[in-house]
Amino acid sequence: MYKVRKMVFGKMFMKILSKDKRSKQISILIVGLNNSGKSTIVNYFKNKDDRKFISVPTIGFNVEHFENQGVSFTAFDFSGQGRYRNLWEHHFKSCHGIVFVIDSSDRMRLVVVKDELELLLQHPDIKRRRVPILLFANKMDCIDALSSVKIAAGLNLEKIENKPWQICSSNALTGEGLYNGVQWLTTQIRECHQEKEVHE
Amino acid sequence: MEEKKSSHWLDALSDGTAGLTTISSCLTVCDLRCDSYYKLIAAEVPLSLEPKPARLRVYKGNQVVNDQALPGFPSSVQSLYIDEIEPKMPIIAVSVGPSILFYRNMKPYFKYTMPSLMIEPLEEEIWKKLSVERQANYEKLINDLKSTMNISQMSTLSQKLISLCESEREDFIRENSEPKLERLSGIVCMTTIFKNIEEEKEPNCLIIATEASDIFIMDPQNFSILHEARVCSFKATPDLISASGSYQNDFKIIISSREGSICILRKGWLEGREIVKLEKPATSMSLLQIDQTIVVLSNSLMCYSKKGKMLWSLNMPEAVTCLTPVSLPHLGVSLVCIALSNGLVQFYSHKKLVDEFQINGSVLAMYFGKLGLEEQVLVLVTRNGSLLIKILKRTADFSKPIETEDKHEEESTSLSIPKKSKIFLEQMERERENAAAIHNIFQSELWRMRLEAAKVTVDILRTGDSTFSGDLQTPLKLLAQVDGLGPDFLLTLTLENISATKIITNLAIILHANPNHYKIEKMYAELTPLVPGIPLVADFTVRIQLTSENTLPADMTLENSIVRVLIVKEKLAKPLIASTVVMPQPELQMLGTV
Repeated sequence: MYKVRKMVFGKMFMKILSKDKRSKQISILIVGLNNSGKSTIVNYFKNKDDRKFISVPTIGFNVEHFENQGVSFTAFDFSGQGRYRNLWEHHFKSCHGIVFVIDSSDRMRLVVVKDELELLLQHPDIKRRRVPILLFANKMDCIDALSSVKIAAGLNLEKIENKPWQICSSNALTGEGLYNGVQWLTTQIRECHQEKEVHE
Repeated sequence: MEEKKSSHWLDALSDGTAGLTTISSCLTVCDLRCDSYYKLIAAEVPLSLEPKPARLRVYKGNQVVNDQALPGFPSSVQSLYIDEIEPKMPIIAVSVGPSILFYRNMKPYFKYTMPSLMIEPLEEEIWKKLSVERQANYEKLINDLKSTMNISQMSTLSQKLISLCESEREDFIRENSEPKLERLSGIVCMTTIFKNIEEEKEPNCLIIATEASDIFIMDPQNFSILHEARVCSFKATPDLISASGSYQNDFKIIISSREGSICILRKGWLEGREIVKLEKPATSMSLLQIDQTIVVLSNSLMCYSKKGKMLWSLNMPEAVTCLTPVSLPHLGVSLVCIALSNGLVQFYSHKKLVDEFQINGSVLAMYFGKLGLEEQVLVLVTRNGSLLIKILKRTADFSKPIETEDKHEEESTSLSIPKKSKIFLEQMERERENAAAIHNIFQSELWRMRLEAAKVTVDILRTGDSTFSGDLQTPLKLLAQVDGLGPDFLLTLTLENISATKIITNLAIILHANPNHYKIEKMYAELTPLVPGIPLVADFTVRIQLTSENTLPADMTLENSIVRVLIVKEKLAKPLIASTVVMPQPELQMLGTV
């Protein structure tokens, strides 16, 4: 029955959805350890005129807006410092997608990344929800950077069951790999949203 | 051995092939390039007998990013800030023999050699003679030197001379025909304090302890000695040192000596003061920054106050190797990390064991602090040369102690005794002065009280006058209440069974009064069985027998206006309770109205 409805009202439905999106913003969380390049990634998506040249360690979190494929995003760029990491979970409930940024040159802290990712996935506000997770293996230009495959293996990403995930190598300074990742995230969020609407 | 793993620590790195052998004093961490990436700096201390040059290495993770040879055996490595010029670059101080090598940006920057100690005039004289004497007389002069002086008091040149065999002596003396005699004292340990402001990356002062029991405080900005002091009034060779505070304001230096004494040196003192004398010299020691107590590791873990009072001690299950304070300000706790020779690493919060894990091999050096971009990292170097890095989890909580089956605790004898107040002291004084009188008064009062009690008891026994039934079989309690203004009174009797389980049956109440005075409507009442705990209330009307002129009976006085209440049980001759209820005098105004 849903299918028929979808076919018949497909076009109209999409219109409503896009309209809906314009009024209701998609919020994504940008998390990761300190010095992994979260703010630099967000900076890249801003208009050329608004970009900052020097990035300083974020305190608390910053809220930024940008648009991709006609979807406007509200990005919560969190601080990755240990003492601010407990802020992340307060926004889990309302988020539509999560971007996890990893410094692929910091081998020593891969265990910390794993620990933080596990904490995030086990959080009651995230555990049961189908929230797409995009991981950026940032700083791919560093000499001692680990490949995204190695990071995925190191973090046991294949164990994530009920959520779509994707890992992209990126370089936030040149913007390499960033658009691919965000495109995937946009598609995933749209799909999740549609499913939800249909079920309703 | 069972593998103990802790849930509080993440294994960031475990490099068994690092090939680093070092001790805790030769391990430090600093922001070497001022890029907020803290690097590990370790002086390789060759522990094997084969001569192997010592090296100074800088690690980023497990990768050596800088490696250079040291001219001798290092005893201590410290990182310190010398000025306030931005960017704040730390300098590394490495003590080798009697000198300190300073490195800036890992390049040699300055070499400071400790001033020479006093040379005995006799020694100088002998050297003068040696340069002019013939070879035949060398033996006699050298023997003079040996017999008059202790080897440790000789200059390095003399020490070398007496260690040579006879054939080599002549050349040696000829080479040093104009000897420059120097007695240099080796540096045993170093530490840092702040110069002025006690904050991270603020300028430091270097504290140097030498073999000759001298403590120097050096300003590394211009390499001048600011203060010089002796460790102690008697012989105490420093071995371990720990300090806190700032040079300008106040500081304290704790020194542990090889002789087993622990000394404290404060600002302005020229000589330290011994506060604790240990049976065995300490293996490791630290002055905790938070509560300013001194933790000492010998064969047990002991904690002392700055005055040398032992606060607590714990016996260790195994031989201990080293100790490092683990300060966690975000949790509000300060732990002490202890490594045991069997590879067990334990964490204590005061005397409570809060965490432990097992590693492979015995730990030689430990450091806790910032490393890389993490703030709480534990670095462990084992005897077999492996380097382990453990990162504290963000969610770690050390509030719950680990349950251990066998307790190694030594019972502390301290009891919580309140402070002596002035009143207490005065009372004590009085008691001491008049002890005999106080005793006599007390005794006589005690006997008086006993007599009083005995009198009352006898009285009750004689009259059976009581509101309680003494019979164990039927414990009862009687309460009487008189209501009314007169001449009609309501006598309410409340009878309660006070036994735990027994039900009392076949009870009856008899009221008895002088029939000329009172008229009681119901003088006898049989009661229902009494259940424990539920009181029974019975009302009786008592009326004064008034005369025809509405006055009280002639012989009725205050004393004899009574009603006797008897609680009796069937087939018992003696009443259970015999009580007297004193009736109130009627209000005279009421009499006329009746």
